Amino acid sequence: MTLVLRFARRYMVPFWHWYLAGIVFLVLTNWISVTIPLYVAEGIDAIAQGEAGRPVIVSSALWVAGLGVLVIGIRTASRLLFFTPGRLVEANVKHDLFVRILEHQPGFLSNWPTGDLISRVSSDVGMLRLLAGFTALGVFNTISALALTGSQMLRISPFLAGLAALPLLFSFLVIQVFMRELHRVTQELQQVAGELSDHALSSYQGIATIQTFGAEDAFEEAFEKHNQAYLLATLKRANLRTVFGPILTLGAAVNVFLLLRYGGPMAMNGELTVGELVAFVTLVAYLTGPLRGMSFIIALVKQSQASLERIDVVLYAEPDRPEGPSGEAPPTHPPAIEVHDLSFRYPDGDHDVLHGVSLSVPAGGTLGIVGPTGSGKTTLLRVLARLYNPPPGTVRVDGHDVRGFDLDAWRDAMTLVPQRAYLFSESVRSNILLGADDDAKLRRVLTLAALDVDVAALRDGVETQVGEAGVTLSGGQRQRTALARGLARGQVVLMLDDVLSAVDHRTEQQLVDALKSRSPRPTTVIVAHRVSALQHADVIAVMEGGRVVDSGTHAELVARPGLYREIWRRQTETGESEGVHG
Amino acid sequence: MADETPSTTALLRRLLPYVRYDAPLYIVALLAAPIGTALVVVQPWLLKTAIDDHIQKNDAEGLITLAWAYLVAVVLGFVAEAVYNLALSYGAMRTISRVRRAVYRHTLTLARSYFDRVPTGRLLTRVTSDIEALGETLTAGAITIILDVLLVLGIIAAMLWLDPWLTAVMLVLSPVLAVVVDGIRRVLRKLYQEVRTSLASLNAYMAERITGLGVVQLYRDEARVTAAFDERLAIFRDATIKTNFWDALLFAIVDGLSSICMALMLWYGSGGLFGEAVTAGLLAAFIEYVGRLFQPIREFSQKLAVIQRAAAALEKIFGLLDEDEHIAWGDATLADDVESLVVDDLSFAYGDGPDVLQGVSLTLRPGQVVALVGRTGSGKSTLGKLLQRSYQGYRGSIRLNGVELRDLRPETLHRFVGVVQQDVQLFPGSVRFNLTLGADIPDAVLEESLDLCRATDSVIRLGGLDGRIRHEGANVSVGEGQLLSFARTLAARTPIVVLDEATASVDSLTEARIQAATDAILARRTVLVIAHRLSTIMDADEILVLDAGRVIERGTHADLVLAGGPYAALFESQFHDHESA
Repeated sequence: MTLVLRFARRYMVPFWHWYLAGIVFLVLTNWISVTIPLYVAEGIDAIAQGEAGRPVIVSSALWVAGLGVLVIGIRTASRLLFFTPGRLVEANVKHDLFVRILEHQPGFLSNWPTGDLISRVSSDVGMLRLLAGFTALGVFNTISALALTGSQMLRISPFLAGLAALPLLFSFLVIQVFMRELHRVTQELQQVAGELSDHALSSYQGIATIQTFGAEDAFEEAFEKHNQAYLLATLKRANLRTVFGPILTLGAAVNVFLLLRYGGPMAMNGELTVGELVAFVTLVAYLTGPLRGMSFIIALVKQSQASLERIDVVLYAEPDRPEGPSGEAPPTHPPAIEVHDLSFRYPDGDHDVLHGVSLSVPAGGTLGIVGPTGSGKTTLLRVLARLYNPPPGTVRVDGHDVRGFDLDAWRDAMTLVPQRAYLFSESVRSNILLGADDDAKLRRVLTLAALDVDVAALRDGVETQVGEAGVTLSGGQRQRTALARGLARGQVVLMLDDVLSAVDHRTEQQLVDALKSRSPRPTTVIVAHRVSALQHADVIAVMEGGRVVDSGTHAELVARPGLYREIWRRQTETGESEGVHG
Repeated sequence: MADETPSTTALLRRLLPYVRYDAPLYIVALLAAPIGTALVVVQPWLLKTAIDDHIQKNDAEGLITLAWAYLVAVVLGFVAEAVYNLALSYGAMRTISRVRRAVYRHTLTLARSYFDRVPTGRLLTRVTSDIEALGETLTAGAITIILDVLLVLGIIAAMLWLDPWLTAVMLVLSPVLAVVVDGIRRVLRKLYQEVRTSLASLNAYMAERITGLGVVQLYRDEARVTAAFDERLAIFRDATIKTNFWDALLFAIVDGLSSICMALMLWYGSGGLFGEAVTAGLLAAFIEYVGRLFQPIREFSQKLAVIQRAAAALEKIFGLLDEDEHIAWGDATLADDVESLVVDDLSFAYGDGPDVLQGVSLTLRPGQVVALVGRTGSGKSTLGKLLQRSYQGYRGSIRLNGVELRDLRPETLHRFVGVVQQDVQLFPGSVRFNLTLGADIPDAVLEESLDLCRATDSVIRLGGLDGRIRHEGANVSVGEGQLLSFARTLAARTPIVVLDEATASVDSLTEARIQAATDAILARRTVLVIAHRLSTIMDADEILVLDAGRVIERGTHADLVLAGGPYAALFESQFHDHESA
């Protein structure tokens, strides 16, 4: 409940004037609705008086018709006044949640699959919209309807009113049990729905593999398992809904029985008029609506509890920023970087992937990193870029702990071109310049990344839309686009994670030369598999199993036995360092 | 109503083939429905009888009997309705799950060009939220619509029987109601379509950004991304607010009309209309009837709105099912042994783009290794994709054992040609499933393949063949993924392998392991290598150098080096580079 209150305070209260106006219109709506049966009762009783009652009948008929027309406008307004803030709240939460996701460290978000995060922003926030619109309407509707209807019933006959309350109360209680069960089943349903969605997403992303292996049947079969689990959960929900759902209508019908059985004799005794008995039947029926609404609301509040939890754990978690609100400004010139005894494990990992790594690069120098797959090269770069924060004191930039920098400023200062090239569904230009407008720069980085010829061959040149995740470009083109994107940013630190393998040898050399001739020359970290890309580095670190097993210049490393010399020999013998790439 | 959008009924009719299998459930529902309706319709009549024949006549005993009869009608009516609802929702849910399966199945068969165009986020929406909307509709909202129709008809019949004139007065309003409801319904339908489209666009954008979050953060693209997100969000929000207005209006109009009906009844009852007075019991019964008439009609409009939503979803679902961007396969099968794979004068363009392959010819015989080299964009990967028939519409011919590729059955081609993808694609599930992709391959073969690819250690780390690979291969490194992908292709034991090298992300040592494994296999397999590294192909039987879609040079490594052409230049420069290195 505290979650609901926190949500209401932050998101609903700002729209209080909408809700206030809504309540006024709602009370009016309900007041008119319970007044109409009274005029009808008056009319019915007048009928028994024959000719004499006719003026009364006409006037009550006019009242009923007039109020009926009036209530159309008022009811529409009352619903709009609640539903509109519901939609506005929905949009605001979506915005805040999305912005917050963009702020969180990948390490934090890796707690959930991407599809799960997406469904938090889409379906869970939809739940909150119901909470802010439908539920809010329901609460006030129930309160005012119960109060107004109840007082009318009490006015006609306290005894019958008390009698009518019993079945309604009983069915209302039964419904609470039902709602609790429904909540449980709904949670189960969400779980299996998530698994189903993950399976579908991964098979759409992996469609090339599925089709070339002719594995459609196997995937359909796997999908069908999730599908059946989902079906089972929905059937459980249907059972509950069917048996318990109409319980209130049943209660109201039982009430008519009670009214006939006990109210009928009262009418015969003249304790109430026939018109009043009929009005009572109408009022009892009118009560079931708000009561049903009430049980929906209780269910919604409970279900939204789950959604709120799923949203809040992302929305209210503070991004991991050890620098606090006022971080230091990172250097504006290429800095020296020193890594000292850095051990690191991923937040969800069970073992260290970096063990006591120590390295240093002079200001404006180049550090090369080489080593087999899984040796921790990519992790090291991620930690330097603070996608994951290093332990205190292990990474120093110009003598300052990198953890102390304002993260945004640090990201502005450095550029990491990741190994996996991820492109967005927008033009090549947008992918590279990210919204900036600088044609000269675009041409420069296209040439630098050896992408100019490729882009010229595309139908719309730089304006060509790249398919989702860059499907229409080849792997090499994608990586070079990502490289161009990285190069388009000014920076004092540049880190390339195995990006040079996307270009051929000549381009690689051009690029390395171009990077060297930049002024000021950024402090550069290059992860590469080709010795040729590293040989001019100021220092080369050889990594294996999360450790730096050797380091030195190219000349030093080839002069002594070890992994580096092994790689170098292999590449020299087979000509591997000179690939024909693409 | 615009002609280009299919009507709701047409859409629902298309649902019939999926509904058929659950006929017994629907029949039970249809049997229970009239019983339930009759028991509900009789209730106001009992009320009338109680008032006119017993209360007004002071017959206490008869009244009590009648009250009990009323209770019996209520309870039995409840049971019949429960049976109806249960049978119908079971039927509906089963139908929905069948639709979901069909949509998923159909999507898997679509051509790759379709996936190049359509974001996977949108496809996911079809198979999840759109079908869910349909399910929600059928179970929670619209399921009782048949019952509603029956109830309305039953009530009208009962009213006509009790007092045809009074009924006629009531029904005067129905055309008004029909016009209003239908008009608003049309507006709503268009709006729901707008809501769904804007939501899909919003979700697709968000999904892509969250997937590529690292890029957004590293390049400080948050402001631009947020602005673009907000723009889509505003379109969605405004569409939903418009929808709310018409929803609310529809709800209120139907509600207000019931009061106008009551006023008409009173006027008629006074004899003011036709000079004919009625009894209090009859009026009470009519008020009950009209109340019950308006409840389903009011809910009817809500349910119609929900059906609109479902129709919008259905439209998209069927739109996807109608998508026939398929690869056209033939019917031919082949005997077991590979004799030859002959590519002759092959040209190809993606869509209406420029040719990316022009007049390429090559022959691959059993046990041979043919290599394609060339810069990015030279078309070598495209040739590999054509051999898998990922794209169709090539000109010239590709013949396997003399049979044109497009005439083959897909399973025949898959049995003959295996592929190592350039992009590693792993799936959430066991390691075994990721290797076999559902094919019946003994563990021994898998283990042998893993050994050959030096991937055994990685698999042990993951917990053996039964170990889990997480969504998006989150617990597997890029290099490991490639080793597994290689093992997957080896385990399929196809006589021909198309190896689209993905060396970019694997370090030399891992590459060396794969190379060693490849070498062992090359002796027994027939391989087309789309090479990124010359070391892979020095022993190839033939090397084709591609440039801008044309073969500019071909021969063995030795021939080409001797010939002194582009390949030799490449090799020379490489040799020279290493001298200097």
